[in-house]
Amino acid sequence: MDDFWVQKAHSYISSHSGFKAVSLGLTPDQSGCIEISADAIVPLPNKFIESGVTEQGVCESERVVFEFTPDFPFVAPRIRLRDDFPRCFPHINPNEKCVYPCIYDGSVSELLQQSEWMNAILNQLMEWLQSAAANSLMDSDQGWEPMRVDRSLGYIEYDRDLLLQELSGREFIEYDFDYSEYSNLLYAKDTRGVAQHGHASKVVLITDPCRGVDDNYVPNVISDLSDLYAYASLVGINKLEGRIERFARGFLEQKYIFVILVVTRPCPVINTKSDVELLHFCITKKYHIRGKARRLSHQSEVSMMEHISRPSPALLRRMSGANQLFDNRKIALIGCGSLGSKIGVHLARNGNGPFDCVDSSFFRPHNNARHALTATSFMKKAVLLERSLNIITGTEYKENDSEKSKGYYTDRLEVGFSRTKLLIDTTASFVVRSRLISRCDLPPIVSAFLYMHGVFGVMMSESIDRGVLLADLWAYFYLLSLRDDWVSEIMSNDGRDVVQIGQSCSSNTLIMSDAHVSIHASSFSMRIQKFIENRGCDSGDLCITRLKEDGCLDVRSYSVPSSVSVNNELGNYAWGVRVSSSVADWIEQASRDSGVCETGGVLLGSVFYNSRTIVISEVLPPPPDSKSSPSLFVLGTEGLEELVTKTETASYGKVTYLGTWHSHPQGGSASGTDKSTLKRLKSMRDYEPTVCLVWTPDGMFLV
Amino acid sequence: MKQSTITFFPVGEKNGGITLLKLNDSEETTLMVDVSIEDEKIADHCDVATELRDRLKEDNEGRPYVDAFLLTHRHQDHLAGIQKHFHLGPLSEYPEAEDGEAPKIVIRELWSSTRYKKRASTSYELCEDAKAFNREMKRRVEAFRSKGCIQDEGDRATVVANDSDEEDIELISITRKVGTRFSTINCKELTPKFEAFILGPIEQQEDESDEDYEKKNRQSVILQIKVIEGAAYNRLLLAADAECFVWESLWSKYRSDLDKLSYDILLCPHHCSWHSLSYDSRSECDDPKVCGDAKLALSQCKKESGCIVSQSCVIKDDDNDPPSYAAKQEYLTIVSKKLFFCTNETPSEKKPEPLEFNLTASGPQRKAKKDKSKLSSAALASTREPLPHG
Repeated sequence: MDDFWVQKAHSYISSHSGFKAVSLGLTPDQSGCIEISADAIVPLPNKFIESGVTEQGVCESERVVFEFTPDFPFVAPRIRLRDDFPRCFPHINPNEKCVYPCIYDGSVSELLQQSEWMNAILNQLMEWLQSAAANSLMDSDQGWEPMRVDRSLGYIEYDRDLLLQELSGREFIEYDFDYSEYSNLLYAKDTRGVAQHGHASKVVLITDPCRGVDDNYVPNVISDLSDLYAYASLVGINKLEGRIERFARGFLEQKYIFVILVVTRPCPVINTKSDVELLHFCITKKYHIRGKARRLSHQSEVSMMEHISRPSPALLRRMSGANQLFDNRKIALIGCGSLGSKIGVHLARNGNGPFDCVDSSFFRPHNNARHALTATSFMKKAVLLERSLNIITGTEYKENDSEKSKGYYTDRLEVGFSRTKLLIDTTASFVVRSRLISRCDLPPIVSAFLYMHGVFGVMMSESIDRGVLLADLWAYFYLLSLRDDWVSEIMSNDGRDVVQIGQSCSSNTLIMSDAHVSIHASSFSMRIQKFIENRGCDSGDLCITRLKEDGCLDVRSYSVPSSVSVNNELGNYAWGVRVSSSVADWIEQASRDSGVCETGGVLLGSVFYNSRTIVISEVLPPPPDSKSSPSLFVLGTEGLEELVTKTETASYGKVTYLGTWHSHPQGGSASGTDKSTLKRLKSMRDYEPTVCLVWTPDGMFLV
Repeated sequence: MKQSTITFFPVGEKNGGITLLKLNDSEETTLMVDVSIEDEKIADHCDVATELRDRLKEDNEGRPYVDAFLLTHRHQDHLAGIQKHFHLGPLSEYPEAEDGEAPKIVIRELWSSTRYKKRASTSYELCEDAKAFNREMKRRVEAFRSKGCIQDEGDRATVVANDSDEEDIELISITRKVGTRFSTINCKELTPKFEAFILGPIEQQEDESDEDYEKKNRQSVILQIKVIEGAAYNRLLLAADAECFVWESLWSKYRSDLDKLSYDILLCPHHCSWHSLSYDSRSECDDPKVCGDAKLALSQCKKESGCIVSQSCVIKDDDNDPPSYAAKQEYLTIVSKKLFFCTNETPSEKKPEPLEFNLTASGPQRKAKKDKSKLSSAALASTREPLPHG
């Protein structure tokens, strides 16, 4: 050990105002350890000042020993109190021969690395002693200190919430468990009746439902069965002996009995949100003969076990800080490639699920470059991902491969989504997009994909009421190419609808690091988590992420306005026509401003051929040479071609001239002029999708 | 577990009053009683302004605040530094801290006796800090009057009135009467944690002259505060600068209801002045006598756990008053030596520090000593002397 550091520690203790009579010698023992002892001046509550000792036995001057190991200052000194220091307090291990107080809610060695150095530990020790003197070590703000398990015999794995739910209102329950022995360690696991690799056993879960809250902290000094019975009696569980004897007689061949005592505390147990403390014991059976009945010896050894939570969505939510989900319907992941798998894993680790994964492709070696998982055998990505996500969330996995095998490259996406709350499409496939847009039986959809070697990411989310659909989001995205330099850059990279990562045959597998995909996937999954926790978005959401050269991510997000569907007067228009609410508002205002005269203009927007959907996302005001009267509106042409060309060029043809609108201030159906204009316009446009929209005070319709 | 605390800060050579009560409710509500921060440091060591700020929380705008501030009476030693360290005026006029200066402390609710209305005159002199305090109290009261409802934090006021004060109907909802209990601070109901009983200023007594009644010490606001912790509680008797006549009168009033005078901690009146215990002057009277009733009023100490705090300069065995050595001897007949504390002697005369008690279920408990970071002390020390380099 470096003398310098121990000397320095000695000087800190000597000069601290809370300590006196610091020992002088700094001679290491055979193992190189050095002890420094000092008297801590403990401030007692006023009423104990005269006697110098509290009711529990804390003295105004307490001898403290600091045990320095050769690893100091990387490892903090262990603090030892006198052997007969009262052991009735929490934050003490009563089983050890010496009393080592737990002075800090965390690593004391970490505390030592702070700038206060030894003073941080000394101050913490003074605070601990002060609380011991006031008998206030149990801090209800921090939570109920559970019974210490410093020397555990092993671990016991089960779903706490599930068992407590089943115990509710009852005095005891028995459960099938399975245990294995690993050298000196036991591992018991709730098998829910399914035999596994270990030895079958049972666990007795016992409480006193009438007992109520037990706020008496009793230190753990349990080493045999008589101690356990005495402890159980202290916490109000009086029938433990009878239960255990009966159980022991029924299962003579078993070496161990596992017992869980359930006690309600006045405040949540530390690091939990529950005020129920579960105390886990393992009894190593030892019989003695008393008359004819074989009875357990009260000297049977009793050890504590540590609880391990079963993997479950609730556990993951606790760990990730995610909020309770609103239902247990599935999340469908369409596309199980690099982006989809990473988003899926993020969501699973937040405790979401169950998941339904859809992808027809197989995992191949090159997928190891960016996929969140890896496959040890040849298997479909959908199977690999769904199985893994279910393992993470502790959900039972039932493989239904036939469903997974149905691909999405064809024009059919034949998976049923009736029990799905959210559909996440990361395929970057326009075939899938077309299928999704054309279906009206789907839950809200989130689409995510990457552009330009992973420099840009785009995520679009439908509104929860599906007032903003995928087509509206795409139309808005295209419209942004006229206003947003990032979207313009994305569109300028390739005028075609080629997304450069995905599962479709046409997509290119580009050179792009795993980190590129991960950083976008992280950002997207956080947004999706919010979407899930908020039970969706009221409006559509468009988020664009941009990876900067320094590795940081910039984000822009847009709230996409809802759209209204418009039909012809007969309700049988061949195309689905959606008008953005911002366009509808603009038309309404212009029509009303125009008074008794008709007015009109040019409609711009996007066409989704394969799903036979048109979205009107923008409107151009009437050219200056337009003519307007109470019964006629003539759309002029002055400057129109230039404007439309500019729009087409800037949007790479994604925002285009779709047709016209005009108003009927007095209402009424389409006139003969309207019908002939539509006919003429269609002819002029070579029968490309064309709309003529009429506004009336009662609403809009298509000619 | 986090405890409620009461801190008595050391004071200057001229005595003073500066006490902070901090509750352990979820918002850690604070009540400050008087302020005494002179420019000179106490005994060269205790920087009271910093010690006080270290114990205060900051609001969303980064401004330190107290939930309530009670001025017991208008003497400079109970007001010193209020203009310098506290923000007086609407919160909209809260100033940016100048370089090297700490931000001013916001007072969310200001408590005062009705004496804020009394103007300074040749027979009623007021120091500049008292005038500033009165202006602030008037501003808040007028704001309430014009608004007709409880104002926003930073504009709130509470008036302590007795039966001799002219009743102001308009202010009834912000007035607390002497002889009543309340459990709110800054409009927060703190029933399971905090309760206060107003003992003074008692109304003018039959045999009391107007001149005596109007004296500033006579007008001291006296509170008995109960800080509750589960089934247990600690009582604090904050006696301000009330003198013998007041204590004698209080004994007469509450002798059959001693609960109202009992305490775990007594902040002894008038900085351990002899005149809180006796009518006789020690310099003028050959055989000065303690007033039995006044002493009885101050003797209702909880057995074993009660203690007495003298917030004063060091109590020496001389003729100085306050603090009076003779008075201290009287208090030592109520509590043991170990349970009598003088702020400027604790932990030592040379290096006094804030005297802080945890208010535990087992009664008051001196707070454990914590030493500051040596590195940080070293850094500060390095800046105090010019360091020549060749």
